[in-house]
Amino acid sequence: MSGPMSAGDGFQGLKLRQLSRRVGSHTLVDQLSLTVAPGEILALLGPSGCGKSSTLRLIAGLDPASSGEIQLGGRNITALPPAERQVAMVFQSYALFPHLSVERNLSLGMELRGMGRAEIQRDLDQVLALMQLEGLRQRKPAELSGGQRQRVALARALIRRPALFLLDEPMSNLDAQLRDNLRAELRTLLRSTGVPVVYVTHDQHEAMGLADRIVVLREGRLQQLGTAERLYRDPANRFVARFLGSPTVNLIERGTTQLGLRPELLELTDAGSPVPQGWEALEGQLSHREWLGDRVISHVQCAEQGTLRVLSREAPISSALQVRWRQADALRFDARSGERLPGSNTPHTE
Amino acid sequence: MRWRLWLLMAPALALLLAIFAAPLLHYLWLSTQAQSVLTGLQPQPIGAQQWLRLWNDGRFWQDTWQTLRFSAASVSLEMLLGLAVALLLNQPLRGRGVLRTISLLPWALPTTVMALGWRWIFNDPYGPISRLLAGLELPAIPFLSNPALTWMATVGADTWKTTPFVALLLLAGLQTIPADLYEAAALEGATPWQTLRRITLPLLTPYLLIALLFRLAQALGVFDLIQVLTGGGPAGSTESLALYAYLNAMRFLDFGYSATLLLGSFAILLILCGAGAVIWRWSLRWQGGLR
Repeated sequence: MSGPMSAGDGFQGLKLRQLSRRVGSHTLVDQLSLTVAPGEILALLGPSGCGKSSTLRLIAGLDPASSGEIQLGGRNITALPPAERQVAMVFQSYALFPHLSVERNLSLGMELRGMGRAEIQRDLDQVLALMQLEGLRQRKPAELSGGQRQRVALARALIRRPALFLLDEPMSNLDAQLRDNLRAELRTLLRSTGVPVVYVTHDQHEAMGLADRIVVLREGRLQQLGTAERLYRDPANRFVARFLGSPTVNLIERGTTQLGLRPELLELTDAGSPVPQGWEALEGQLSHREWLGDRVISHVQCAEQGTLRVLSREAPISSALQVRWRQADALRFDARSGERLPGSNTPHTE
Repeated sequence: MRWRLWLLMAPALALLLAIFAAPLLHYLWLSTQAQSVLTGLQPQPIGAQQWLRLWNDGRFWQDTWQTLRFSAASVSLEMLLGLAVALLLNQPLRGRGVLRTISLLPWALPTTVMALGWRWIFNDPYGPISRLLAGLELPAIPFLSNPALTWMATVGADTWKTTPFVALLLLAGLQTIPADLYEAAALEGATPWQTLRRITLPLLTPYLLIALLFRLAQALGVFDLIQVLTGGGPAGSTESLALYAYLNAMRFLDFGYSATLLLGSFAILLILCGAGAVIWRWSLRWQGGLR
C-alpha cells in the first residue's frame, strides 16, 4: 500500500501506537501500544474504569484519539469515521434495534450500504444458519432470551465480514452457567473469522479461557501483555498478580519487600513440623474453610502476617497449622511501588 | 364474587359518571330543548329541531372548516418545529440546560397574556412589526384586519406558544433511546438522515402520536387564544367552534343551541380521533409492531 493514508509497514493485523485519549484533565487511555495478529484473540482485562472500554471505543472510532495511531491491515485508520474502518462491534448491551426483527437487525447495515436484495438474502441465510437463529427470524429483540440476543448481536457483527472484531463484555448479561458453556463456542467462532479480535472483559476466567494473549490495564496504562500463563506465573507487578488467580494471591510483608504467594503453591502441615531446606514457613490457626467440591480453601490466621488463603485437595485435620512454601515459588514485589523484584522465582518458560 | 369487583371499582366509576357522563347526558337532553330568551330561559321540548338548525347553520360549517384549518396548520407546524427543537436540544451542546429552560418559556406563559402580547405585536399602526416596517418605509401589514392574514396570525401565535410543549414531550422520548443504538448505526455506516429515518423516528413514534393526540384535542377546542387575539374576527373569519358555542350560551343566551353546537363539535372530535386510532393501528402493522 502506498499513498498518504497508508503509514503501515505491511502488518495485516491491528496495531496501536502510543494511543491516548484525554478528556479534560483525565487520561482515559495512556500511551497504549500493542498489536493483534489476524486470527488472534486479545483480551483487554482490568477493573472498571481501567480504560479497556475507552480503548475499544477508540479503535471503533466512536471516540476520537487525543494522540497516537491506529493501524488496521497496514492502513492508518486513526482519523476515519467508524463506518469506513471495517470494524464490527458487539456491545455490552448488544444494542439491538428494538423495533426491528432479528432478520432486519442483521440486514439493516447491508440495506444502508445499498446491497442487492438477493445478496442480502444469501448472507442472511448463511449467518442465520451458522448462528442457529433460523427459527427466530421474525422475532423482536424483546421476544428473545439473553443468550439468543447475544447470538443475534454476534451474527450482526459477523455478517459484515469485518476486518476487525471488537467485543465489549459480551457475556456480562448472561448467567454464570451459560457463560461457562459459551466460552469455548465463542472462541471457536471468533478464531474461525481469521481477523484480529479485541475482547474487553473484567472477568479473568473469561480472559484466560478465551484469549490467546491478555493485556492487563490499570488507569489507562498497560501493565503487562502476554499469555494467560505468563501473566499468572510471571506477573510484572503486584496489580497483575492480584488481578489474576482465584483465590487471590496472598501478600505478606518482608520489610521493604512483599511476598506474593499463590494459594495453590502453599502446603499445610501440623504446627511445629521441621521446615525443609529451601522452604519458608509460618505458623497459624485455621479460622475457617470453604469447601469447593474438588478443592478446599483454608483460611489460616498467622499472627501479625494476617490471614493466608491455602488451596488444597484435602481439608486440614488439625487447627494448629504450619503454612509453608518453596522459596523459589514466592513472587517478590517492592512493597512501596508494587513492582516485581528481579531474581525472585524461577521464571516459567511458555 | 363478581359483585366485589364492581364494589371496588364503584368509586372510580362514580367519579367518571359525575364528571363526564352526567354533563354529556345533560347536554344531550338540552339539545332537544329550546331554552333561550324567547322561552323565558325555561326549557321547552322541541325534539330534533336544534339538530336540524345545526345542519342548516352556515356559520357552524364555516367555523368547523376554520377550526380544522387552524388545527391542521398549527399542529403540523408544531410537530415539525417541535421535532426540530427536540433533536437540537438532545445534542450535547454547551449550555444545553439553559437553552432547554428558555425554550420552555412560551409554554409557561398563560395563553391570555401571550395572546395580548401578540395582539400588540400585530397591532396595525402602533405595534412593533408595523413600526419596523414603517422605519424601512414599507407598507404596514394588516395582520388582524385582513381575513387571509388573520388566521395565519392565530396559527403563528399558537405555534409559538405550543411548540415547546411538543419539543419537551419529544425530547423526553429521544432520551429513552439508548446511545449505543446510534453508535451501532454509525458503525453500520448510517448517514445522519438514515439514522433519523431508520432509528430515531420509529423509536419516537409512540411519543409523536401522544404529542399529536394532545395537540389535536387542544387545537380543535381552541378558545382563549382566539377570543383574546381576534375575538373571532374579522367578520368571523377566525371564529372557532368553541367560540361559537360560547357566544351562543353567554351572549345570545341560547343554551339549547349552545349544547347542540358543543355536541356537534364533540362528534367531529370523536370522528377524527377514531380515524387517528385506525391510522395508528395501520402504521404499527406497517412497521411490524412496536414494543
